[in-house]
Amino acid sequence: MNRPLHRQPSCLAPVLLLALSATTGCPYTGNNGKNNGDSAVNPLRIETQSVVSDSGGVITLSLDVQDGERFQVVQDDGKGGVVFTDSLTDPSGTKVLDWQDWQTSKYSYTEAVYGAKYANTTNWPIREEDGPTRGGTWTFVGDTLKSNYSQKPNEPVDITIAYRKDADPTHGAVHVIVAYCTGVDSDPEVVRGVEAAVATWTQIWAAFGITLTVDYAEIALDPALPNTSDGEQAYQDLAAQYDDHPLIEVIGDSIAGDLTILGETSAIPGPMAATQITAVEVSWMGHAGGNGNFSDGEIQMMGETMAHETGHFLGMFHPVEDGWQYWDYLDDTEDCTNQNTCEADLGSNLMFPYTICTTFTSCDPQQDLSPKQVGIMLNYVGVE
Amino acid sequence: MRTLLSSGLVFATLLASPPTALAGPPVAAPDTITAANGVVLTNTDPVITAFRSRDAVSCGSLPSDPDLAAKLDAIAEADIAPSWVPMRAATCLGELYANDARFADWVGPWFSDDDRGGLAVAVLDGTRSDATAQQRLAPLALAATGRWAPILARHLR
Repeated sequence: MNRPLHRQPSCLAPVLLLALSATTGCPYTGNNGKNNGDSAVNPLRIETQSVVSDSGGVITLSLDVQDGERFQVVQDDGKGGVVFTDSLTDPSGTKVLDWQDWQTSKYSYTEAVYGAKYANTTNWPIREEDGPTRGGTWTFVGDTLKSNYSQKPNEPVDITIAYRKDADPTHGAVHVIVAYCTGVDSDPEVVRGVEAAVATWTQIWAAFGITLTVDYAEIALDPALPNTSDGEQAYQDLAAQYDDHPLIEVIGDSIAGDLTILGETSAIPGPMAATQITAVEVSWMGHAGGNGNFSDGEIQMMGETMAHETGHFLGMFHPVEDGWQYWDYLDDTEDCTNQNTCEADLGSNLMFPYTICTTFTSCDPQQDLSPKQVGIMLNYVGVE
Repeated sequence: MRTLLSSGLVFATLLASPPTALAGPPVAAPDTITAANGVVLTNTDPVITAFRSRDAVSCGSLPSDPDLAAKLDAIAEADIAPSWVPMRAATCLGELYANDARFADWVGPWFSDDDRGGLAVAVLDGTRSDATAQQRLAPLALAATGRWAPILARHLR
């Protein structure tokens, strides 16, 4: 399903490219007769530019943000090079995001400051308390890097900046494309299991005010999926077919030839722009088990995996990592420090890192989210 | 991943507590099963716990065990939730123990059993970097019939 999108031509709200060596001009020229720059009637506006990093590998962008708008910057290298977010500075000159604050932190905030192959996504605000955004000119600084993370000068990068302002920031809607790899949807049992799991995922998110609209598609891809972070042109091609930047959930047999991987997101957060890493992958086989048939419990587990992995894509980290020494940067998920307290306090959380099973055959549901975890998802610009 | 160390710390804490701290409701005995290969599994086994992770598990970083190969076979054959626990055990069996003398006896039957065909796919995936093991398993995969046949074929490297 393609839904209409009100795009604001980038020439109407120009991005000031301080280190710009080249641009492709203004690719979006239509405005559906409604685009007047007023975010109240234009909930999503998109700007795209092609830039080249400077001799130091630096990309500097000026963002024209309106009061209360959320925004997302996607740097797309497109060739598997590393792109990195250095900093984000608000109109008052305050650096609200600085990579140096997070490299050795015990708290996880955004993977944008760790760098990523193919595409790097910076979504702002991240937490509820990071917003609402102040209108004015924001400055984004990114870098193009070699695989050893040294600077890569004069590297072309496609930039997509999405801005969104909502009438009701307490609720959201997400359009999901569930895409079956070649041949997977010819197995009725797999289709039954996937559709039931999607229903579970829908219920989990609905409880927190996020409505899913789901459509099914096929993607011409071997069901033995690659890692999402390795980049796949088919993901970019599929995402580009839709105007409303849906969340792409790909169903395959396995991921990276490894059935120890149940599901995988490309990044935290992932890009809403169409790139080679715009996808979340789920292995149906890992959930169906040795007999390949879905029990009710397995359907629940796969629904939770879908919600968990797409939760990563929208920006949520685990509330605590294995080892109990690293946490998300939220003050309403306990910074627990041992297994017992972590399981007691956070074991029912959707983003807890492992399932808790009190018997061999019975595992506890993990479908809770804290208000600030929900806030992260609602701040993701791809959420309407 | 929960570790042997963290489990040990909990146990040590219980031992060090005064007797009154141990009073209270009786603690249920751990859920145990004995696998066909004789391995006794508990629901809180560190290897099972590691496999219950929602995110990826590295076969190379599993908790140590005196006979991890036999334990992996036992877990793969057992009815353990979530369903990915046996699948991960089969994958790690293929990745770590394809040259174990018992390997063929353990995994061979999976290739001709509709109820365990997923384990056969998992073990094939586990041997994805071992051309010799893949060659040994290829005749079994290509001889499979029914629902799993096309899936096994596409997981041969």
